Amino acid sequence: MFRLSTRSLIATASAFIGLGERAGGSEGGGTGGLVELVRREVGQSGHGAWDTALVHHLGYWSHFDHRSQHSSWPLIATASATELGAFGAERKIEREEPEPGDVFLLYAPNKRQFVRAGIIVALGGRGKFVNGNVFHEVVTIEGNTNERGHAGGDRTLAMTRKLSWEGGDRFLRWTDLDPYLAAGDPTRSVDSLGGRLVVRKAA
Amino acid sequence: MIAASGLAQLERATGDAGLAVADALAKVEVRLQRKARRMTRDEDLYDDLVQEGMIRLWELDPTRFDLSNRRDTRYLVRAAVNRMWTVFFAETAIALADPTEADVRQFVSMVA
Repeated sequence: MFRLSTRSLIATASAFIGLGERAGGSEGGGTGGLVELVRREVGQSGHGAWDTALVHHLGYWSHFDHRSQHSSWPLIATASATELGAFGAERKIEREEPEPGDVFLLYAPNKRQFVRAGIIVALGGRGKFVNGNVFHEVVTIEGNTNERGHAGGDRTLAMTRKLSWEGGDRFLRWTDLDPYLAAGDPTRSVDSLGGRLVVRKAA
Repeated sequence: MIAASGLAQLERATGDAGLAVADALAKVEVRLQRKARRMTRDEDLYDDLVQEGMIRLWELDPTRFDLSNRRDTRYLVRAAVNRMWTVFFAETAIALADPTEADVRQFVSMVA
């Protein structure tokens, strides 16, 4: 079974840049099979956003052990950023400061829910908005977007974004759910599920 | 060195959420300008107010919103106008601390 690795996730995600609903990006003429696949893996049929489903696909296959036919990816299979956020809160893996490899959740203040998920691959500077909220400039890899960062785009891109914990955005430190690290830590709760170790709650 | 084809490939591979501000502005700029004009006849203050509204849009990050959805664009306008009011009151605080009858009349007409 693979240990949890941000390097594996980032490398896998990088290989997906440019791919999307039309194979090869905007000039491609593919069938959208990638998007159908990532949706199917999280039990989503038909249409709808696929950014969060892509996070699952990348995480699952970057941590797949072909010998044991098992993935050690610890986050839930979902197409909903809000569900992923609830899972992160319950497992106590939300962090205020981003790190490369974290899964980010983008918050929409008018809907009071998360509307997008992706993977942080690099950190830029940090600053403050006029209202005092601290922001982190990050480079992400995210699906279902376009070159201006809007939802509903047809590609997976490396995106420059400003994210803010105080503005509602969240960074999920999924590596804290590594059962091998947690097993020796009395402050964490480790359990056995289907014959493998899982972390119920991070420190 | 990156070849021209490589540059084109890079452009297709990267994005910047900050660029979405221009898309949001295309939707709401006229409304912000109209609000600012109702707040003041002072050209400098008018420019400041519109600029503050734009900064608020940038802070909010329009990629969190569906710009084709009226409720979302209304939210953006409201948030920007609230910031404009804050700046307006800060800029005009001295006048409002000791308002003349004309100040009061102008204020009432603006918020009505």
